[in-house]
This record gives sequence, C-alpha cells and structure tokens, in this order.
Amino acid sequence: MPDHFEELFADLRVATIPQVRPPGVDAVRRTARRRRRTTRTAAAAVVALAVTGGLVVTGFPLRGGHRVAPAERVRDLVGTADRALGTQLPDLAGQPLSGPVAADGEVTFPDQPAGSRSLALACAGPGQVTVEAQLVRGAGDSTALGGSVVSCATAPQAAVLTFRLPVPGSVVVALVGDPAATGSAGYAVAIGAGDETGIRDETGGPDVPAPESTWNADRAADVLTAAGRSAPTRVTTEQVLSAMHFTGPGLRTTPGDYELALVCAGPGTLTLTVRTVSTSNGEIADSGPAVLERQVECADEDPRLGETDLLSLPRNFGFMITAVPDDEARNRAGWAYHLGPE
Amino acid sequence: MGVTAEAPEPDPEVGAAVPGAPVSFDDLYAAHYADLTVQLFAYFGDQQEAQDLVQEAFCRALARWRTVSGYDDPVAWIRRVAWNLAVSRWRRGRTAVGFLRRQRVAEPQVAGPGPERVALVSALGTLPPAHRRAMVLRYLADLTIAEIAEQEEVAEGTVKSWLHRARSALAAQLGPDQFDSAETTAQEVRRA
Repeated sequence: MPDHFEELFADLRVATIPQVRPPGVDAVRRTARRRRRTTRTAAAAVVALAVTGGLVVTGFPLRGGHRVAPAERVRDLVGTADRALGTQLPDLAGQPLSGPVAADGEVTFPDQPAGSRSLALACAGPGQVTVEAQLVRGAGDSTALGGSVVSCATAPQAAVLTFRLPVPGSVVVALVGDPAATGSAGYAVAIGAGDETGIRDETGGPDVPAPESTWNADRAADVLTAAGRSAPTRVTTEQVLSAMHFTGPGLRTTPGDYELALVCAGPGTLTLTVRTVSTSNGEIADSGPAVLERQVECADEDPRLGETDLLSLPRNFGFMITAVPDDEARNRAGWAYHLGPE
Repeated sequence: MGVTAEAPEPDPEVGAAVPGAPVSFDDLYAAHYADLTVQLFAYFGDQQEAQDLVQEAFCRALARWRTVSGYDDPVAWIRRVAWNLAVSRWRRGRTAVGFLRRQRVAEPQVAGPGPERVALVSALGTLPPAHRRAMVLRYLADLTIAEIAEQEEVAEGTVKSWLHRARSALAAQLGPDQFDSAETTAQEVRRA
C-alpha cells in the first residue's frame, strides 16, 4: 500500500515551492553587513585565557548496566559544567547560566556595570563551542567584546574571557556549538568583576601569540575575504620586531603589478615596509630598496579595507614584507594581507 | 610574528561549487531556501513567517560562514537553526524577524493555497508541536528516524511513537478511509 502521507506532503511541497519568494543572498549579505557595523563601536577586549583540550566522549555511556538516554546524559553534562565553574572559579560572583550546547545558543547577562569584567565558560562533553561576547546598550547599539573557541571535555576547564565595558549595558554571549557539541554537550557560563577569577594572563609571552592577536588576525582576514580577496595570510604580532616575510609571487619570479590589500584589527599601529628582494634559484639573494613604507592604523572598531597599494615586481625579484607593531598593538592587534596580480 | 598562510582556494562564500570543494553560500541558499521554507510553513501554517525564519537562519550562517562551511553538512546546521528559531519562545519575541519584515520591500502577490494544501496544513496545526515537527522532518526534510531523534534529542522509539500518533490523528481528520496508519508505521520501521 502506498504511503499516502508521502503523496500528501509531496503535493504540499510542489504546491508551495513556486509561491516561495526568496529575499535573496544580497538581502542576507546586507543584513550581515548591517549587523557587523552595529556590533562595532568602542571596545577593548583582552582574551586572558583560552583553554583546554580533553577527551572526546562518543556514544552513550552505561550507567548501572543501562544505557543512558541522550537527554539525561546532556543534563548530567550540564551539571558537570556547572560544578566545574563553581569549583574552579569560586570567587566569581555571578550566578552561572547553563544548558545544553546548541548550534546557535545565546545567553544574556543584563545590567552589567562599566569596567573590567570576566566571562567564564565551562563545556562538558564532546566538541567545541565558539564564544562571542557583545555589549548591548539598546536596539542597534552593540559592541563586539571578543571571543574564543572553547574545547569541551569530560573534565572541563573553565575558559575566561576578560574585557572592559566602556559603559554599562547587557552582555550578550553567543555560544555556537560545532556539530559534535550541539545537543551532546553541556555548558555553564558566568560573568563577574574582572579580578574575581584569580587568573592572570599567562599566554602573552614574547614568542607566543596571544589569543587576542590571533582573534584579531582572523577578524582582519574575514574583512579581506568579504572584500573578495580569498585565502588571505593572517599575521599575529607577538614579537617586538616582526620577522621578515617573503611572499610568494616574487619567488616564482613572475614580474608584473601586484595589489597589496592589508587590514589590521585591534589597537595600535603597524609600521609597514615592503622591499623587493632579488632571488636566485628560489633563494633570497639580496635585499632591494623599499617600495612601500607607511603607517597602518589598526582598527578595533569595524576594521575595514581602505586603500590598497600597487606594487611593481621586476623579474627575478620577490617581496619582503615587514611590519613592526607599536607597544599598543604588540601581541594584541592582528593583521592579514592579500597579494595578488593587479 | 606568527604567519599563517593558507593554501590558495576559492572563496567559499562566493566561489562556484566544485565537487569535493566547499559549497558556496550562494549555491546553498539557492538549493535549500525554498525547501526549508516549505518545512517551516508546514509547521507554522504561515508562509511569510516561515520565509523570515529561514532567511534569518541563512543570515546567521553567513555571519559564521567560515565555521559553518567547514561542517560536513552545512544545511543541517541551517535547518537546525531555523527550527530552533521556530520553536524557541524566546526567539519568537520576533526581534530579528520583525526587523526583517520591516526591511522587506513590496513583494509580489501570489495565488492563495489550494484546498488540499489548506486541509493538510490545518490538520497539522492541530497536532502537538513535537508530533508536527516529527511529521515535517520525516516527510518534508526526508530525515530518518535516527536523524529526527538526534535533532529532537529523544530516543528513536519516541519518534516512532510521535509519528504513529500523528499519522493516526491526521488520518482521522483528512479522511480515515484513505489511510492505514498501522501499515504506514510498519513501512516506517522497515525504511528506518
């Protein structure tokens, strides 16, 4: 006997689809751009600590010889995350919010005072969660505060994001679970004063890129990608004197004009220098004159692609790109560039 | 200074779809917007609201496209977000949807739904939400029982029970003579 429901629903689909009028991808992009613009006003974000790997849990465990139902297991994991936060950060005053990880989760901490705040999150179970915090002061008025990717684990470690709120407002935290975590992991998140965690930044050593710098390099790369420059190169700023970077086209000895598109996200300024270097058999033979020297103001709010630079590359030459971050930018800003034929 | 150079590859957001390469956002939108809208329409009975929610889900996907495009099944993520938007009372405060609605330009008028379509959607509207979701996911999203169970975070047996009850209720409303719920359930079990 045929399944009449198959036919009924197929008819519904056939009858409805012609009447659907998609607003279109341009409308999606306009909305996305509008939201990006409104999420960036004055902000200073410091990622103080990123966290932990851990065991990935697969399948459902047995408890007392019985298989634990998914919903019950997730409830257990929510409790685990809750306890981890309470145990590891007992001084954090805020009441934790907890629940199952969702693909588009969001929690709100209303009425937060201005000043330094710490956001702590623990995730129990498989997968990982992308955390993005923003300060919301009213309709259409929000500020990106920072973000991080937190790994979930059977024995979760609390990840702490520290930021400064320039004005009072609500902190809205997007919690985006990856497919492994969505529906299978539990989170607990709390917010408190910036000095309540007892955790100090231990990641900002001289040769270790701080999460904030990595985050900003990703932001800068996203701007370039959105501007049509695919596969940009991300650069962090943990060293006082940035290392020289030899870029590809010259080393393949392809002469011609190249467009350098560069975006810097975060605080401070970069001193950018581009030189041509002669190459021989694919190796750097000699450094040539500077073809570009300029200051690049990094943007913490709404980094954008401004003017690009046109560089001419002689035969058998490559480009050497050097950027020196100032004190403010060092290991906080991140930048990205794209070099392609004009 | 740490440098992370990526191998050149098409921009996944705007590039053309290539077998084995990340699917482009545009292609995904073109291929799935209407189908997702039909699913939510069957759930809500309101086509415009369904369109708004699906559009919002795609907006969220674009905002995280670098992450979402890396998933094995980006559509599953978008579908889940759309359904979360649909079932979440909090999100049905309609802030985002209301915003989209205000942004909407004058849209072409379309013919109203036919009587069969109205009857099915009306009958679906009388089902408990979980039963309704199960039917829509089964028959319009073509998900397996296991996939529905995963999305709804319940056991597979629960989904089978929902589907059985939903079919019985729909059959009673739409014309009991046309339907054999028990037979359909047996087919369901065999297919799953």
